[in-house]
Amino acid sequence: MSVTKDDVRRIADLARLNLDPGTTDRLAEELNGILAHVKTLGEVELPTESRDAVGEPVPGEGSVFRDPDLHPDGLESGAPARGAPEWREGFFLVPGLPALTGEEGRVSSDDGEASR
Amino acid sequence: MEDPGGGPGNEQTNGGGSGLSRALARARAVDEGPEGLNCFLSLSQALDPGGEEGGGPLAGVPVAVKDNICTLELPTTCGSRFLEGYESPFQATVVRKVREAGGFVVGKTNMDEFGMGSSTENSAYGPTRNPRDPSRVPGGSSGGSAAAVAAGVVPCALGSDTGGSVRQPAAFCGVVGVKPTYGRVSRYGLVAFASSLDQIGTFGATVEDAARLLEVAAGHDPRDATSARRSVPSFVDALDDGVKGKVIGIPREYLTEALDPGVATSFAQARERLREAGAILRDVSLPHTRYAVPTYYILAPAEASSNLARFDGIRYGVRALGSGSTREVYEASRSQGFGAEVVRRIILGTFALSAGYHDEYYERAQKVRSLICRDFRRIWAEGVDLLFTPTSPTPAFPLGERVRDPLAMYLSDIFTVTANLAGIPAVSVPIDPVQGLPCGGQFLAPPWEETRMLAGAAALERSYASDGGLSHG
Repeated sequence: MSVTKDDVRRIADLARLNLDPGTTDRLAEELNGILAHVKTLGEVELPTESRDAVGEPVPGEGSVFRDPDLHPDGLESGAPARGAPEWREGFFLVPGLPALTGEEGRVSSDDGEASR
Repeated sequence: MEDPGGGPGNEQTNGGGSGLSRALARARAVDEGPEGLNCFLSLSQALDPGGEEGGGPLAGVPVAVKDNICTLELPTTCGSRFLEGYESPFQATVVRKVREAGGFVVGKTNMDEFGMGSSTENSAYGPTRNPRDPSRVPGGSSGGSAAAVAAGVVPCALGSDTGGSVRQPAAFCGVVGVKPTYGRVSRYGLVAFASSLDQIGTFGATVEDAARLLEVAAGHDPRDATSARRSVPSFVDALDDGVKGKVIGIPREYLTEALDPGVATSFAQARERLREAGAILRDVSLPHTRYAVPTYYILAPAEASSNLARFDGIRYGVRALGSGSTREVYEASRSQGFGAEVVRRIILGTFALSAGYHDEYYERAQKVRSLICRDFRRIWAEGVDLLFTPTSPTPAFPLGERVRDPLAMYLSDIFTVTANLAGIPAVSVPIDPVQGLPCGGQFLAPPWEETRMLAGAAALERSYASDGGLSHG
């Protein structure tokens, strides 16, 4: 199979990317080149017990979980305000959600740090 | 550690000042002007070392840090416009450990955006030049760190290695680069690219420099669930162990027609040096090696497409102006913030994970990955102590040569991606230059056997040193 421009547009939509037509054309062509190389994986004879053959990334270590009481540094103190485009009283500001406001919300810019 | 001073730029220090001020003066000198190397994206503003005073294995040592490792004092941009000026609210564990060991951060180094690239040309802040030949790339994605060590700014540096991003630039710049076992070093504070492959690694002017920094960086961290609960042996003390009686496998799949003839000759000479040092060389086969690059270029973009979903213009980074709905903010911010290679990989990864293609691409690549792991396990079970290969099929290529050909760029990683897929440690160490350009040999070892691996690298380094050392460029 080959990847069409429509495929690239659909994938870009899933990935929340706007692509201009020139980029869409170029990516379709590049993706086909890369996938032609990837096709060689089809030659590989997979073991019959292949259900257990998915991923063995950590040599000698089982899955472990972080202590749930161990919080990342600095996230309670308002420190994200330094990096967030808009931040007020401990919250990230987002544009209004249509499901809640009944209309397309707009980015608030009357308060908080200006967009950078 | 080797004194990082000396060479052009040293005059700016007027002979005085601390190791930090000397390193800063040298950093400014090598990066200055349009023909500068562009190693650093930001430099320390500290007037004094800032590290813990007193002893410590890195007392007074200046260290360069790749710009995807979070620091409190300096911005963390990941080489991306998306994070221009971003100041992290927390510090990476490795940076804390460097400071506690007496070292200090000189600056943050240039890189391919989010680690995606093999030449440092994908940085939003312009490419880094190779100090051995400024018309060529330094390799990537940790090109700034490799170049900073090669240019004598620092004796050691931190990088990250997802598919060869420490080892390949180390080879291109004529320095030592270590990718430890997956789980050996905490990734708390490392901006994620492909989480099953990413590992923080170290650069050194010598094997000892890289080993000392690794010894400081390694160890379990409760803040990183993937860091292993294992004690850390002394990597430096093991450097005298040599290779006498060690079985070193030479995998035939790494000696392909893709190998530059000059690199092949240099590699053959390195192999003979190992034999002279007492190693037992054995021809071995890792039959799934040829599938490593296609496997990597499905799995790494798939993981990246998920990891980079967090860059949405809401919580950090740049928010596109003039957008309407939340969804439009996401789309506009991501489209303006990401560079071409990052977009390419997000599209490729999203495709590989999408309904209808997941089984054919992502799941198949995961299964092939397990076969690549088994190849290595079989070799170790057959009594092979280490593997030795070239690090890269070619020396550093000219700036611009592969920018428009993503597949050619991806194939630069052909000898390095296997270690990430299998989670095993690997190190690149300089071997004979090819037409004046640095060249690297790579040792691979079983999981957690960094001591054995670094002893091999040190034995080879000493073999060259006993003949007067290598002269690059």
